[in-house]
Amino acid sequence: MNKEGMQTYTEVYNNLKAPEQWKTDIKSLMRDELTKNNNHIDNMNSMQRNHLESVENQKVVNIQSKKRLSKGYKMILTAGGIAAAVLLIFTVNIMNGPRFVTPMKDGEIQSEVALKNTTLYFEIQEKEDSAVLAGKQDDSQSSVTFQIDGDKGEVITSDNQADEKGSPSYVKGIPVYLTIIATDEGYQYTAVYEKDGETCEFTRVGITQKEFIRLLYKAL
Amino acid sequence: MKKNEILQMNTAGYSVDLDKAVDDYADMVYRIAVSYVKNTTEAQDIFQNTFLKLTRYKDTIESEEHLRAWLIRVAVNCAKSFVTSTWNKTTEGLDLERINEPVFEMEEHSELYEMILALDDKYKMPLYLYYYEGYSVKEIAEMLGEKENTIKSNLSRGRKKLKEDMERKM
Repeated sequence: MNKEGMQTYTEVYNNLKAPEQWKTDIKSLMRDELTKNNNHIDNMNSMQRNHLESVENQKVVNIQSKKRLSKGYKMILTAGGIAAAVLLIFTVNIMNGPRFVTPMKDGEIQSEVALKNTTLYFEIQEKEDSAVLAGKQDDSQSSVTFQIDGDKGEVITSDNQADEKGSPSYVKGIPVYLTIIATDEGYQYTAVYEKDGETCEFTRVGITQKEFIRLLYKAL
Repeated sequence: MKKNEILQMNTAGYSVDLDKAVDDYADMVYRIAVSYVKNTTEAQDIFQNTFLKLTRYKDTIESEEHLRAWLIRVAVNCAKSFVTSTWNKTTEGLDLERINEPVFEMEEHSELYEMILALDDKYKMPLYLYYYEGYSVKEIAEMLGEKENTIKSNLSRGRKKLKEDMERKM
């Protein structure tokens, strides 16, 4: 388009103007639209705020729940651990302790008590002033001679070829000599054994035979 | 307000003043609207739809230049949508007031105006945006969503058509 043509073109369009009423009307419409939009935005913001608060609260609840859970888990773990430890100790004790085969009743004593892996032999003496006390120990001999007055006044001599300690029992592989003596306080249980080259004596009074055996196993 | 004047303005932290936007660009939007439709009611619909959209999207406008280009693009799209809508195709113009034609002091201006209105839309808009609003081919292509070569071609053909029409008149 030549310069003249362009000028004419421009002038034509210069005459095209929007009616003033259109401008007034659209300004009013735009203000109304703006007010409507702002109310909508406020509502949306309010809803969004509420939603965010709800989400945050839920997060807090979740965190607290997790904390509680973790506390709970810790407690469970601790309790479980304790229970496991107790069970382990109990199991170990059971495995290491005596496992009775012979039925043991309170108030009764037995000269032989069978356990799972061994048999315990008890020398039972009714009274303290028993033949053992009357016996003379002959160091030169490995036996003890007992002199007992018989019913007809004769003297009965008995050579106990056995050791002064009786037949040994084996507890955890250790030879132990077990004796039960009746006393005024109840039965006295004595275990004599050697440990690390030393002679040890384990004595208990006033308990059951079963209990004594358990305690002996613990001591050894 | 022409494009060259706008380039000078500070575009930092831009906020659209809606009343001022109407004052500055109402005529521009009007010209685009009347380029596509022949009656007042339809032109006013396009005019109002364009500015009401500005109310909704004003926060996306980054500068005065952006505002101007945005209004042109939206006005063209509104006009095209209106022209191609089913309502417009099936509804006959019943007693619709014809757009008040401008009064030109010179007859040749009046004749040219008629020729411009008679042009195909694909020529009318590029010519208007190029020769009157001062946009480049590239900018027009972006605004109208066309390829640059298409705009160049339409500009050329539009000019040729106008020239032929004017020569025929003489």
